[in-house]
Amino acid sequence: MLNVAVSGRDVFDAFKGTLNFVFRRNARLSAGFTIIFCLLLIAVLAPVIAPYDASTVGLHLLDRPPSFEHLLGTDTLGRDVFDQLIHGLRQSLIIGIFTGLAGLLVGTTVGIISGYKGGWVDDLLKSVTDVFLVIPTIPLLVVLSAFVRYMTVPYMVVILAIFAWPFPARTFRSLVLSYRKREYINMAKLSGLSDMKIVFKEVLPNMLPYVSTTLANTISAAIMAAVFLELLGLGPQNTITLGTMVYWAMERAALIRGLLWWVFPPMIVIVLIFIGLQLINIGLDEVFNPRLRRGVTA
Amino acid sequence: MSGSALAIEDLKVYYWTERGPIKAVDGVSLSVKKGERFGIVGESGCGKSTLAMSLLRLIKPPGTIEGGRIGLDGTEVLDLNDEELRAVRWSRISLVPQGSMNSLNPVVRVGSQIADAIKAHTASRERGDMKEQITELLGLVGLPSRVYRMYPHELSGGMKQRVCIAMAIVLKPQVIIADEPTGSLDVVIQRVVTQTLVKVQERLAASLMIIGHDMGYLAQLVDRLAVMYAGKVAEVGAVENIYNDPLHPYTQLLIASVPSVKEKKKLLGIPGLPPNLLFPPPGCSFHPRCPEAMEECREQVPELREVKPGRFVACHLYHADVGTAGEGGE
Amino acid sequence: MRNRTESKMDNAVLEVKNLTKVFGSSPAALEDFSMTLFDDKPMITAIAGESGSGKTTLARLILDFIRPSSGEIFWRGRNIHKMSKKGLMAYRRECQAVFQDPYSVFNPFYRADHVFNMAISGFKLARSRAEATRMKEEALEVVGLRPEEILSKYPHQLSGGQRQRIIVARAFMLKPRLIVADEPVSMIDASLRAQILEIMLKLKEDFGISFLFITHDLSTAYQISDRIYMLYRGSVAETGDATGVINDPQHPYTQLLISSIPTPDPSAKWQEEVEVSVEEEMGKGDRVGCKFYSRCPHATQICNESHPPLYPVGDGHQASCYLYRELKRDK
Repeated sequence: MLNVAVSGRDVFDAFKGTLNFVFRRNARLSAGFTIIFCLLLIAVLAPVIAPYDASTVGLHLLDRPPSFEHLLGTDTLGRDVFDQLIHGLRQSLIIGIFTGLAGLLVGTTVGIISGYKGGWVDDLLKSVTDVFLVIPTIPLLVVLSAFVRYMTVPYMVVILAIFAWPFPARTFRSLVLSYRKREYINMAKLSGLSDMKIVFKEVLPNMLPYVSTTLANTISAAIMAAVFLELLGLGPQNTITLGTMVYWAMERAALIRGLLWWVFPPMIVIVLIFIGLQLINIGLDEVFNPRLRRGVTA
Repeated sequence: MSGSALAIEDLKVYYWTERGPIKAVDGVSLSVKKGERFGIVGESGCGKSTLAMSLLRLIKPPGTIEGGRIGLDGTEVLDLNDEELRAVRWSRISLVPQGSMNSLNPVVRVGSQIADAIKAHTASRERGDMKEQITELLGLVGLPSRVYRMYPHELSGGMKQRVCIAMAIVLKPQVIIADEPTGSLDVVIQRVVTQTLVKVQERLAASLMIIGHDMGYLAQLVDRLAVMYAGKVAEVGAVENIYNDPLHPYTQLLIASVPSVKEKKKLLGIPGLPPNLLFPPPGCSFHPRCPEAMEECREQVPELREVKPGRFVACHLYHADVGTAGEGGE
Repeated sequence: MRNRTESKMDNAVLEVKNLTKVFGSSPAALEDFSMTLFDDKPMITAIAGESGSGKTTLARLILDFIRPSSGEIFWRGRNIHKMSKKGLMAYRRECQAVFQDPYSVFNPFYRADHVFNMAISGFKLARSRAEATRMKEEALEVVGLRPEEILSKYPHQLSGGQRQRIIVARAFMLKPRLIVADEPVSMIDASLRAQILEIMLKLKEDFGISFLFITHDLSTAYQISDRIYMLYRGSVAETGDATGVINDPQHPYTQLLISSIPTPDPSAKWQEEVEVSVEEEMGKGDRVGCKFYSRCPHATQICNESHPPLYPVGDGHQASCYLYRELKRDK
């Protein structure tokens, strides 16, 4: 018995197509992708490029403005700010990406099963999704986070993921409902394929554009939510993230004291991440929905 | 071509893609007389819908009108500025686009939609009692006045199409263009809607241009017919002449491929594939599929010439001064 | 009537009994429809009707995409709604389909050969890549396409006619007993239809495959079908030998339909004006009695009271109309 449905050629095509796609199709997409890619690169290489050890207190002179040795100066606890920024970026991205992936994975699975199966399964899953969508997220996030004695990055991911999955679930349920009616699905049924196979082989590949936009959305929402919690002081306690940097800077009255090199860099990076993700989102939207495009090709 | 309601001269409409221009309409010249019913027949990709849209300058990028002239009873449509164009559209020439019955706004009542059409093209002081006008219009297309208050989804396909016809004639234009007006309708309803269209045209003493792909249908309806292929006109003439004595091989094959309900005969069609408009065949675009193709057909594009009074054909078979021992030629 | 697992008819390959399908609170899309296809020789049976006639519903019921409100479908004597998974697979294998829209049947994500690969893997038809390729090539050759030009292209690179032929090839590859062709040429240009219809005839004559040809176009039905069922609003108006019914229609609806077919002959135009009342158009027709009552020039009292059964009007030719109630039944 031979599974000839997906060949290696299809996969290679997809990869080549993706690269071509990202860099050649749309200016916003390329810009956003470049920003995020650079940030990711820095984050991944953090242990290598960070000049000093970011967490040890009192390693350097306190409150020093930017200089050659300390590109972004030092903070009130004697830590190098540039160091912290790089590590903070890394941690924030980790939180965002893992939450985003978890939310996407759970959300798409729930949404697809709900949309494709219909009947009582759909009713049940839809109700659960709706409940989560209706609950005011922010107060609950705050309550849950305050409830955790010792917040760490993994706990944060879990808490945020609880609120990250309903929106993708909703989106993918609607998508599946519309794709289910396509004629090629009927064709697949006539070819003796099981429901599972149909969902994965026929429906899902066409939804990949939506997967990428939803992922970008979920990640950016997760990072914003994480930063929000961190600004309230509910962030991971012994890990440096972009939000906690701002929090501690505020705690030490850095703004009033003029330690701008401590306050602004993390804020700027947060905004950069957000811009990058939104550009990717808009770019993808424009590529996949030709009506949003402006101007003429060639 | 004075005295004609619509005079199209060498019209070219191209769609620009990364690989070059798609020549959807490539040098079309036609004229429609006042009060006549003129048909344009062709298959998918021949450019007839593009032609229809271009007559009202509704072509959007990446499509552009590359050249030619469109004379609307003396007015050169391509020379009008935006203001003048808006004044001309709908009041002197209007269009019932393909599939328009499915493009009615589902959340607005029929009466309001027709009112919108009136409002968009007339200044407020000229409007008068719109409700009365609209009810009269509905009556003209054979719909009862209560349709005024109904929503599109409450109507059948034929009724929706008649609403679209009503919307196209609100300002009593002199030229009405209908693109596949009975496209997805059942045969009997098709007949009813067509009757309506003819009635409307006669009442307004307007010229009607019908665009379609069904040779049988157009035979019922029009006075003169143009056959389009690959963006060009293959043949034009009075409808009786075209059906009884088709000149262009494409026309002959097209007529032969309409199956009859009178006798069983071998199913006929046209071999080969429709032409690629991005890279059309050299010379006559039909030559790869033409049973009468000659040497010059591969090299030279045949011009549309009047070979008998009122009969135009673009085919080397009828161009006596081209090439060697061909058949036909007048 | 209890649902049966087995039917009594012996060489019937497809038997549809009293099939009714109601959607929501609307009038029945298909009402009490019965039909039998026999095993002896391959035939093309046309199911003709306009929109709202129930022909598409019938196709979807036979292909088991939807379940009937009442009635049964037997395949080779076994009720398809009571089949095991394995039985249903075997049924699907023998009863294939060609659809109307040659564009949407292809998943745009994959190349054209995907439609074959799906069927090969779904029914486990090939044991090696080479065997699969051979099957695909053979099928494409039967429909007159060259494998090297087709298999590696994406659907949008092929024309509508080519795509439709690929779908027919795919159905053929499974060597079915019956192909349900739902408006197979309606979305194809007139000049290219002959190619596809010829292929259908070839599959019938050379390979013994029967067709259920669902269409609204009586001219094509006339040209290739053996038998025809004329549907109107979910019921059979007339049925019989295709040539017989179309050359000599008995039911007023069939007569109206045939007279409305536009012929490419400017001297034979539509004669009288046709009137269709607004209620009729909106489908708010009659529930009791003959469905054609409000449009019928021969309508009488009884026509409004109960739905006419099928009366014989000729050799194998039946019409559901009270005009023929009095005819002698010994034809």
